[in-house]
Amino acid sequence: MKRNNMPLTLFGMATRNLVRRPMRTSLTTIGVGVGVVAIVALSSTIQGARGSVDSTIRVNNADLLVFESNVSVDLFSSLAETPTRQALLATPGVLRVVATLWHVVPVEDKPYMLTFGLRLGEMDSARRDMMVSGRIPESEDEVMLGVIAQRALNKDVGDNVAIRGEPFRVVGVFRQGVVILDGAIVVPMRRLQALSGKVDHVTAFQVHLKPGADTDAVIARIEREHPGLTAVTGSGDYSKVDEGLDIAAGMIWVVSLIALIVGAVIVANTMWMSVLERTREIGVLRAVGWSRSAIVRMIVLEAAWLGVAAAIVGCACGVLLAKAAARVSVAEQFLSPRFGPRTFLLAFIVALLLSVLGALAPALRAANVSPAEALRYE
Amino acid sequence: MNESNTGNGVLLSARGLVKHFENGNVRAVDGLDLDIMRQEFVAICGPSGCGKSTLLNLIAAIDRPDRGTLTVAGRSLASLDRRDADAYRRDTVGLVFQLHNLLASLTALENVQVPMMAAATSAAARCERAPALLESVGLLDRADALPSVLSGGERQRVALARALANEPEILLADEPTGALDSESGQRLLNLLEDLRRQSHMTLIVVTHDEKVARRADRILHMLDGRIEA
Repeated sequence: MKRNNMPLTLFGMATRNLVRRPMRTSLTTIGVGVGVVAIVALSSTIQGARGSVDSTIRVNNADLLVFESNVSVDLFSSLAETPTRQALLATPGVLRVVATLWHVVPVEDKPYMLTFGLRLGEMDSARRDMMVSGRIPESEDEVMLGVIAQRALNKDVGDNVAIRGEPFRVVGVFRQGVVILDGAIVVPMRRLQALSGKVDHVTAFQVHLKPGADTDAVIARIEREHPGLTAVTGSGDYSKVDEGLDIAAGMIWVVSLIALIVGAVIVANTMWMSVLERTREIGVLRAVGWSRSAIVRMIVLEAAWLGVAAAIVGCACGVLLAKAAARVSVAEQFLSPRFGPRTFLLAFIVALLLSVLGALAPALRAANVSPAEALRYE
Repeated sequence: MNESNTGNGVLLSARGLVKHFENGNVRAVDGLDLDIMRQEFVAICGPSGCGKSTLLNLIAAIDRPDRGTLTVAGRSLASLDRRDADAYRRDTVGLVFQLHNLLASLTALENVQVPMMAAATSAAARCERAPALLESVGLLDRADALPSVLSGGERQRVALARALANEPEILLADEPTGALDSESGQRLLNLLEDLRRQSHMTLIVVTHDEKVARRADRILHMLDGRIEA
C-alpha cells in the first residue's frame, strides 16, 4: 500500500473539517456567495455605466460636455441652443461645439428608447468611420440606428421606424462601442426638438478645445462667465449633472454592508455548530498540548476557506448574472457591465472579511473549551 | 505485583490533593497523598466514582486541583498558568484514553502528528517520526487508514503512538483496555510495557482490570477520593 507521507498542516486540518460536512459547507458557501454575487453584479454594472459616461463624453474626440447647471439628472438639462452656442464659441480655448438633444421616447413597440438629436451638418464626419451599413442622415426624415437599437427594433437600412408615431427612414447603422450610444437612435435635431417639445433647446454641447488649451481653465471660465452652465470631463465629475452614478456606487457599499452582516451571521452559525459538534475533538487537541491560539487559528482558517470558496462561486455567478441582466431587452440599451480587477478584489476582501469576522466568536468559544469538560462531553 | 522500582527518585508528589465538583457536593479527590518514582509502572484501581480518572486529569494538568500540592518533574501543577499548562501537557505527559479519541477526519499517520504540531516539530521531523511511531505499534501498514476503518485495538494502538509523539516523561492511560477484547487488551499492554522500558517512561494506568493491575510495579487502591493504606 502506497503511504501518503505528506506532513499534516493546519491548512490540511481545516480543509478536512470542511470536507467532512459537505452539505453544510456548500450551503454556507452559497449563503456567503449571495452577497458576493450582489457585489460583483452591481459593481460591474456601475463600472460599465462609468465607462459609458466617459466614452459618451469622448465621442467624436470631444473634450467636454456642457450642461445646464444645477440639474439633478442630465436629461433634465435644457439649454437655449443659439445663445449658448455663441457663448461657448466666444470662450478662449474653444475650437468647435456640437449641440446634442437627448430624449427618451417610445419607438415602435418599445416603451422607451434613447434618441440623440444632432444638426444634419454636425453629424460628424468621424461618425462615418463607425458606420456598419448605409450612410449618415442627410434629410430631416432620415435616422440612423446604433447596432443594439437595430437589434432591439429588428430594423435595417431602408426600413421605416415610427418614433412617437412619426415615420422616419433608416438610412444607416453605426457602432461606437458604447452601449448607451449603440442602443440609441440618432435623429435630425429639428425633428427631435419638435417631437420632444423643446424647440430651439438642446440638452448639452460637445466641446472640442484648441490644441494646447488648458481644460481646467476653460471649464473654470465657462462656469464663471456663464453661471447657468456647467462642464464635465468624465465620470469623475459627472455628479455635477447627474448624481445617479454616485448614488448607485453608494448602494454598492450598502449592499456590501448588508452582505457583510448576513454572511457573517451565516458563518458564525455554521462555525458555532461546528465547534459545538467538535467539542470533544477540541478537548483532545487541548489535552495533547494545543494552545488556545492554535485552536483559534484552525477555526478562523476554516472560515477563511469558506470565504475563499464563496468568493470564487460568488464572482462566477455575479459575472453570469450581470451579463444576463444586460441581455434583457430594455436593459441591453443601457447596461454593459465591466469586470475589472477592483470588482473581484472587493468581492474577495468582503467574503474573507465577513467569514473571518463571523468565525471570531466561535473560535474564541473553542479556545476556551476546558479540556476536562470537553473530554467528559458526549 | 512486580518488584517495585524506586531507585530513580520521585517524579510525582501529591500532598493533601483536593478536587471537588458540583460546589463541593462531589469529592472526587479528597486529601490525597501520593509519591510516584521515575520509570515506575503504577496501576490505580478502585470502584467507579472513586476519583481515579479525576486524579489522572489532575496529573495531566487537564484539571486544576482545588487545594493541596501536586508536583511533577519539579513543576507545581497548581500554579501553572494556561500557557505553561499547555506546554506541560505537550512536552511532559502522553495521554491514552479509554475511548481512543482519535480525530475522525485524519488518518492514523496524521493523528500521530497532531501533538507534534503543537510542539512545532518541523514537517520533516514529523514525516520521519510519525511512521516510526506507527511502526513501533505495528500499524505502519495502516498509516493511511481513517479511524472509522480501524478495529478497536488498532485505534488504541494509534492512540498510544500519538501519546508517545512528543517523547513524554509520563504516560497516563485511563482504562486503556476497557473497550477492547481480551486478546487486543493483552497485546496493547505488552506494547505499553515494551515501549515504557525502551523509553524509560513512568507509566500510570487507571484500570478496573485485575490482569492489567498485576503487571504494574505497584498497585494503588483508591476509595472515596483517597489512596487506601
